[in-house]
Amino acid sequence: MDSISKSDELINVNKELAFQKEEKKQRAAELAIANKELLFQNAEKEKRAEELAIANKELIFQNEEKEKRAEELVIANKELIFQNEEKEKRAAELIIANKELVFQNAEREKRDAELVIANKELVFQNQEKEKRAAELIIANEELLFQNEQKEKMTTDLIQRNKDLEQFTYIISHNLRAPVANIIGLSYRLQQTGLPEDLRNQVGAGLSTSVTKLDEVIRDLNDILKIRQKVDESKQLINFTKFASDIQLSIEKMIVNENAVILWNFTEAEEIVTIKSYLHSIFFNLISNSLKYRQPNVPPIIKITSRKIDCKIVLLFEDNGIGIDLSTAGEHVFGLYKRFHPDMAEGKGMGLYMVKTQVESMGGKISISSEVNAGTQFRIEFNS
Amino acid sequence: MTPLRFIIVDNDPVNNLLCRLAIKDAVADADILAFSDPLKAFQYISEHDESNNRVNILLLDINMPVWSGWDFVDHFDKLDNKIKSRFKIYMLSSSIDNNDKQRAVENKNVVDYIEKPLTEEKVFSLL
Repeated sequence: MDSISKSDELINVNKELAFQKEEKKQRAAELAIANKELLFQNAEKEKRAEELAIANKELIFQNEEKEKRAEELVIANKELIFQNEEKEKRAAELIIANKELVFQNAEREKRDAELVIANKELVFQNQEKEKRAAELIIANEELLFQNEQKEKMTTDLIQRNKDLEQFTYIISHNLRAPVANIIGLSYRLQQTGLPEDLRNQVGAGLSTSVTKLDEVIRDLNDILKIRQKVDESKQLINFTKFASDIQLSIEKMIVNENAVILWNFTEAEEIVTIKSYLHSIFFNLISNSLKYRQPNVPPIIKITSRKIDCKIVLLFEDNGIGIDLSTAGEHVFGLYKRFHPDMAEGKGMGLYMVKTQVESMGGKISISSEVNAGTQFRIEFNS
Repeated sequence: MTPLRFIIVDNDPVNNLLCRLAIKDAVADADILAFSDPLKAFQYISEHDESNNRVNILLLDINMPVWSGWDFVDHFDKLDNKIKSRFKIYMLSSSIDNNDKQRAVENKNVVDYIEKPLTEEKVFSLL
């Protein structure tokens, strides 16, 4: 063994060596290829390096551009910040302005509300003024009414004053006159040695004066009674019947004077008045007409009623001697006034009483006359 | 010497009697003329034509039926001064009303006011 094994070994080793040689040849070929590859790769890498260099330059450039741009952006940014700040300021201002507007608006609304209130107030005041005006109109009417009342009262007071003046006059003159006579006469009566005839005259004078004094007192009483008697109740009187009754009561007087009394009461047939006054008025006016008749002319007395403005008017006309009113004037109705003292008895009471009675009933009396032709009395009643 | 002349104008005969007596007591030889109608008295004095310059005392009543004393004085005022100067008018009235006295005193044609009844003393006061 060992010798055979050593040759086999050697053949094996030779064979191994021959394989290894082949391996090495293959290896070398592979290396060559790898080398060529590396050379190629190197060349590629150089190319790439060049390209990178170019790219690098480009990047540098781009970087520079970017830096420029950044600087520009910084500036722009600053500008924007500034603008922003301005805008913020402006916004703040607008907020303030807005607030101001809101405030003003609120003020206006307040003011509007106030105006509405003021307007309501004015409307109310206007209404109040209208009310007040209406009240004033009423007050005015009231004043006018009161004024009328006062005028009536004044007229009444003037009348009363006249009455009082007349009363004073009567006291001073008509009442005092017989008293003065009595004083004078009684002084004479006390004288001793007065002649008989004179004593008789003084006695007669005393009697006349005392009678006169009594008469005046009675007249005064009658006059004052008229003033008091106004509340005597009024009654409906038929003129025709009334006149007939009076004619009958003074028939003798009428026959004696050969007089005619005519009447016409068709326009107003009746009156509501105080009967005793109406009687006195008819009686006094008729008897006056008979007293102051024309001597040779039969007396004709006409009595007529009229209705004028809803008021009853009585007219008494005669054909008597008349009266000169230019001298007699307002004295015609005066107390104790006489204008034909020689013609007939009388004391100047009749017309005064008639006037007093007419006026106490609220009426009016007037006279018109023509000497030697006749007289007309017009009585206007107050209803 | 011509006696004093008194003219009484009053419608009351009793007063005229008393006046006559009072005047006679004061002036025994007085010439007295009485009118009960003032119109007649006025007619008398307006036709007055006396050669002498005698002054007449006129006693005039106020309250008379047709003409009052005041009416008389108003008419008297219109007379000629020559006539007027011969009459001294005194209002002789029963009135005790001061207004009548006042009115008499204020009237230029009236000398004074005398209250009735006329007495001897009152007549003396006129002289």
